[in-house]
Amino acid sequence: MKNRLILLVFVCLFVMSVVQEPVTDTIDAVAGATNATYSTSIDDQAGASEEEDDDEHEGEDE
Amino acid sequence: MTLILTTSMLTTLLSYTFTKSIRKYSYILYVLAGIIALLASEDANTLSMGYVPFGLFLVVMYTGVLNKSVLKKRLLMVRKELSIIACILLASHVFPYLEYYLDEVGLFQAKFSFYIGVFAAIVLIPLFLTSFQQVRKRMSYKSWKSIHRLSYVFYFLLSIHLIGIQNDRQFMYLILFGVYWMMKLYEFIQRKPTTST
Repeated sequence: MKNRLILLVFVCLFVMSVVQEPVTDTIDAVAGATNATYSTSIDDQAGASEEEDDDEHEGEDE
Repeated sequence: MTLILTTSMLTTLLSYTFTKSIRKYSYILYVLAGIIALLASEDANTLSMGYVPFGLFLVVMYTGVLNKSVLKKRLLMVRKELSIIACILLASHVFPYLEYYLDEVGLFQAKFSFYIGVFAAIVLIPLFLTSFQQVRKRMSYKSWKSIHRLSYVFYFLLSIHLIGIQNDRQFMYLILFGVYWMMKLYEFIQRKPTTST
């Protein structure tokens, strides 16, 4: 019973993770490239801005 | 999470298929894991970000709550080897992150999950050292067992560390560890001897 429950949990989580995380990002990560899916925590610590923040001061340089 | 779960599934499959070989060539695997950990710690990758070691630890963790079966028997046979390999690979996550936080973020500016991660790594040291047969032979079973009860402390700290990162995978970590702790609690209640009045 427990074994089946564990299998079910793992399969459900795997399906959820495949849906949530793009497969291309996973392949990139295996190949050694960082991307938005697999480097968010370290980016947060390093103070990297979010994508929408990049355009905030776009007009200031002109 | 895809990487973590894929690692767990592959580890389970390989452990089930090559149980005897893993035991026989364990030291070769440790050396290989050490070389990989050294090479991987330079850049951000699946090892240095902790996904692969965590995938291995998941197998070690869940082996303890499996029902009696051929799978459990085979996984128990290589549990020690899997934990040692996971510990060696985890070094490629612990040291670069420690260096990064100390150099770039500052010791007192880090997030809560960082400190929990450091505690988890400290708890892992005696577990790692006493996993080797040579060390284990020099200890009594009682003292070895009491040290290895620390593995629950490590799993607990690991769960807090991962959930505390608060990334997109937080919900999945909650399920993964929630199910584990619920099963452990159930096992504990089942094992508790009933007192006769």
